Order: sequence, then structure tokens, then C-alpha cells
Amino acid sequence: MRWLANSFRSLLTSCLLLALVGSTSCSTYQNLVVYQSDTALIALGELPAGYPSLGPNRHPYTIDPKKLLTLLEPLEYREGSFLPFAWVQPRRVFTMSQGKMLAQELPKALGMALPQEVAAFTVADEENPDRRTKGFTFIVGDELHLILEELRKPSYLGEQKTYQPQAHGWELIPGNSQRLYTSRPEGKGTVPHWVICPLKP
Amino acid sequence: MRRSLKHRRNNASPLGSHTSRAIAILALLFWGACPNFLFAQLPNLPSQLSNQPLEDGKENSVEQLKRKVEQIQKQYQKELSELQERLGSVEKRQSTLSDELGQSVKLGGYGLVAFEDFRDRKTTYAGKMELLISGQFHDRIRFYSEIDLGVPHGTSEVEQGYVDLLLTQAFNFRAGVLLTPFGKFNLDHFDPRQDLTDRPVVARRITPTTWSDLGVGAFGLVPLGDSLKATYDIQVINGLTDKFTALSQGGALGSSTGGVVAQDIGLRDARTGLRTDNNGNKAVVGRGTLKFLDQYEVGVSGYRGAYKETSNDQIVGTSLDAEFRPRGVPFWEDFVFKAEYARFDIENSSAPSSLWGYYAQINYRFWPAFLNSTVMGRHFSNPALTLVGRYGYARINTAAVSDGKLTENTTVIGLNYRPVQNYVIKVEYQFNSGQLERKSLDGFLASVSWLF
Repeated sequence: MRWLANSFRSLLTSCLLLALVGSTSCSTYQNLVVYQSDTALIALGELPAGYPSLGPNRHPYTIDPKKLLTLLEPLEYREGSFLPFAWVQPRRVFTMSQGKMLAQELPKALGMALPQEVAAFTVADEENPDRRTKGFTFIVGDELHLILEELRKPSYLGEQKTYQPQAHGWELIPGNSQRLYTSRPEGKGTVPHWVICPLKP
Repeated sequence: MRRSLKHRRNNASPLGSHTSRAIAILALLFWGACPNFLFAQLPNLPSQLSNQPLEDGKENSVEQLKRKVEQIQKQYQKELSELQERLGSVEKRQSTLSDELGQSVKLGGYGLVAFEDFRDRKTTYAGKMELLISGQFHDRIRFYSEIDLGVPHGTSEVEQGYVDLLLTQAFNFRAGVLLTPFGKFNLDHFDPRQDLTDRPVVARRITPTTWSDLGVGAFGLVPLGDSLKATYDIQVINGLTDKFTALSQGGALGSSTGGVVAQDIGLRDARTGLRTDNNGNKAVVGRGTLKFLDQYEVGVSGYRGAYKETSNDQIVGTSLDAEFRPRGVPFWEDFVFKAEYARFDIENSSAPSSLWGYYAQINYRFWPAFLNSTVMGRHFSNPALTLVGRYGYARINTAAVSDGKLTENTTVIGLNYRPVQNYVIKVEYQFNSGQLERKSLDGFLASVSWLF
């Protein structure tokens, strides 16, 4: 059995070296700002590394702001309660004015985007401007993909250590005909921060 | 029109009766000769005269209706906008209330029950129960507590119990019972988050995980670019003492393999146990990290502090750790790579004089589609199996043995099943060789752990 342990040790060392070399070959991408205000920023850029590639996006894409508003405004999420295994009442992801602003500006961005780009957005909370909601939208086929990376996260918090399980936990609630992205076949591997909205009935 | 006709009739010139009769007869003849013409004209004339006022009335009614509809529409819009305003304010209040409720306090915990069967040793179960309480009593003040409920030792103790004053992203203040930022494993030690039951030998024998102490500190995040950020966590704590276990139990070791090595040999007993400082000199410990794309993390830790009651002799520690979680890269995204190295040098001590060790681990996460229809996958949205391999090494340099060192090599191969992220069943087999803890006994471990 010792040979097995020794072989495994060699394999492990090789894998670590490969991963280290692979990490140095990543490139960065310059974002193009489409809209900027005191409370919001919309820019075009590549989907950050770490998300699966779903093939070229259907960009540029023309989407009616009213249609987008009907998708964004009712979108809800739920978060953990102070008690284990309990959830508080679902809440809207975007306020009315945030939804209107995004519905107005995101179509412009999606109309300019290249197939490899996504529209990234950051909106500040109205009540507490130091909290922000951050995410990406893009079109694949006839579906709008919305990924939320941060939801009303206080900017001063700094690094949220993932190994603190009591950190702010939340998940999106897909509406009618919407669904969460799944990373594995047959609906397994749901990603709770990634919702897909069909654009055609 | 009517008035003018009447006027005409009243003011008709006075004709003679004969003339009138003649006209009447002619008129009758004309009417009889041309009935179509007369039918066409005569009914129309009075119709035109009577419909005109009706249409005027209709137009007036339509105008009135239009005005009414417009009024109703305006009123409706006004009421709608008022309702929207009210809804907006209700949403804001709900949002604020939810924030306050959600942040006030959160209860949680984690547990572990583990079974081990090592060659030539009795099988046993071990366990752990920890209570987690966290929350915020102000938007910028949060607390976090991890309390070991005393399984299996019977004495509960606080592993973490700190309060943070959140000032800026780059600088925040922390005080209380602090988890010592030395190596990543000590910070990320929750059993359900780990993929093997047994902790790496370097995290047990060299870095005394779980290691916490009373003190104050600062931490923060410094963005260095879109993809790169740096974090730091630095603390001033009471520090390690001179109570570390240097010798074997029941006397000195005659040889490198003889005698009984104390269960807690190394620095585990040098932890303060949250008691007061033994020498008045505070220790400084810290960890800095560089994170690239939130997938590649490299950390460097350092420790320095006096350990004796009466002298200024120091324990100096260094640690390097790395964790790679490639995401979005076909094939590699199912792998996680982890490694950690730690070393402590103890001034003016021969048993031990220094300790060092490391581990490297690779995880492969997968889920065969055929399991979706089985009980393992049918009821869960994100089940996963993880194949794990780890190699670890620890060495304690000590004059208490003839060889001058005690070592341990551990190779582990394991598999775990997570129906959901926070519940895991693990099985693993260890190949050991050396003089520490497991000695050269191979064995099997299995555990169930959960986090809520």
C-alpha cells in the first residue's frame, strides 16, 4: 500500500504546480462604462472568471425597457432568519426607482454589447447608500440571465469570509416561467444567485 | 327654420280663393305625377330638421362622457400614484425592518460525530457540538460567538467571542476572544466545511488548531485592481505559554519509536485557555492574503511572542497557505487545491526546539447523472460527491528522543457525500508512519457533520 501513498504524493505535487501555472495565465479586461450616476453604474465587460461559459451571448440585443421592467421589478429574494431553518418574508430585489432606472439603461447596454460581453451593474440602496447591489445581465438564446453577486451588501464590510457561516445568506426566488441556473444535468446543482427569465412566451 | 316658415306663412301675400284653389289643385296634380320625387324630398326635409338637434345632443353627451372619463382617469392616476408612494414607503419600512431583524441576532451551530477504527486500537466514536451566535446591534457593530458545548470533554469553552467595529473597508477594529490568524486551516476549521474527518497533522501537532486567545486586532480589505485584492488580519494577544508538552508520558523516550508520546505533544498545551497573560509581554500575530479573481488565495502568517514567565525568550512562527478553486474552467472547475506550511521556533528550548509541517490536498467534486434517480439525488437540488486526497507531514525537533525528532507522515484518501452543502457524510482511510499521534497505524474513519 505504501506505493499507493507515494504515487499519490507525486500526483498531488504535479496538480498543485499545474494549478499554480494556470493561475498566472489569466487575463484582465477593460470595462466600458455605459451609464454612471451617484447611485448607479452600468458597464460592459466580460463575465468574471469563475462563471461557466454558456457560449456566445446573443448580443447586441434589443429589449423593450417595459419588458425588462416587468422582469426586474417583481424579482424577489429570501434570506435567512435569526432562527435556523427559517426564512423571512420574501423581499423585492430592486426598489421601484432602481427597477425603472435599470430597465431604462440596461437595454442601451445590451444593445451595444458584443457577444463576449455582459452588462454589469451596481446600484446603491436608497435608504442606506453605503449598501449596494451588484450583478450582471446577458442574453443567451431568447433568455435573459441575471446574476447577483452582492445584494444590499454594506460596502464597509470588506471581505466577507465564506467560512463564517453566519454571514448574510440569501437566494433569488424565480417568478412564473423563470428558473434558477443549474450547473449539472437534470436540474441538479442549482445556483441560487442566478436566475434565467425567458423573453418569449 | 320653423320660425321662418311660420313667418313666411303668416306673411304670405293675400291671394284670392280661386287662385288658392288653383294652386292647390296644381299641387295635388304635381304630387300625383311625381310621387317619387315628393317621397324623396318630403320625408327628408322634416328628418333633417329634427336629427340635427339630436346629433348636437349626442355630441354634447359624448363630450361630457369624455370629460367624465378624463376626470376619472386623472383621479385614478392620482390615486394610483398615491398608492405607489405609499407602497414605496411601506417597502422601505419593510426593508429597514427586515434589515434590523435579520441583523439583530442569528443562531446556528454545527456538530460532528465520528467513528474511527485504527489497527491495534479500540474503535471509538468522537463528537463535537458548537453553538454559533452572531448579529449586529448597530449597523457598524457586529458580534460573533462560537461556543464549544463540551463534547466530549465535558467542559464548554468559548472558541470565538469577538465584537467588530466596522469603520472602513480597509480598517476595522476587533476585540474579544479572537480566532488566531495563523494559517488558513485555523480560521476555516468548521468540520462540516472540511472534506475529511481528520484534520491535517500540521494543524494538530504544529499549529494548535483550534487556537484562539484574548486580545484586540485590526482587519481590512485593500483592493489592488479589478481582479486582485489584499486582506490583512493582525492581532495583539496574550500569546503562547511555556506549558507545551515536551516529553513523553511516563518518562523519557529511549528511542525514536519507544515509549508513549503524549497525546498533546507540541504546542497544544501552550495555548492560554483564555487565562491571563503569564508574562505581561503581548504576542503579535497576523495573516495577510492576496486573492486573485476570488479563486486563487495565497496567505502568509507570522507569530512572535514571549512564552516564559520570567524571561523574554520568544516563540516565532511562520506559515504559508494557498487555496485554488478554479471556476468556469472546464474540467478544472471541479477541483480544489489546498496546501499549508507552518513552522515554530522556540528560543532556549530543547524539547521541543522547533516544529514544522505541511499538508497538500486535492478535492474532486462530481455527481454522476445516474444517481439523480436514486435516493441519494432524487430529493436534493445540489447533491455532490467529493473524492479527496491529502498528504501531510509534521516534525517536532526535540532533545527528548535520541533521534532528536518526532515525525509523522499521513496519507489520506476519502470520499464524501453532501446531499446539501451543510450536511456531509465522510469516509476515509489513513496510511500513517511515524511516532506522533497515529504512529504507524493505518485506519479507517467515518463521520457525519452538519452546520445550520
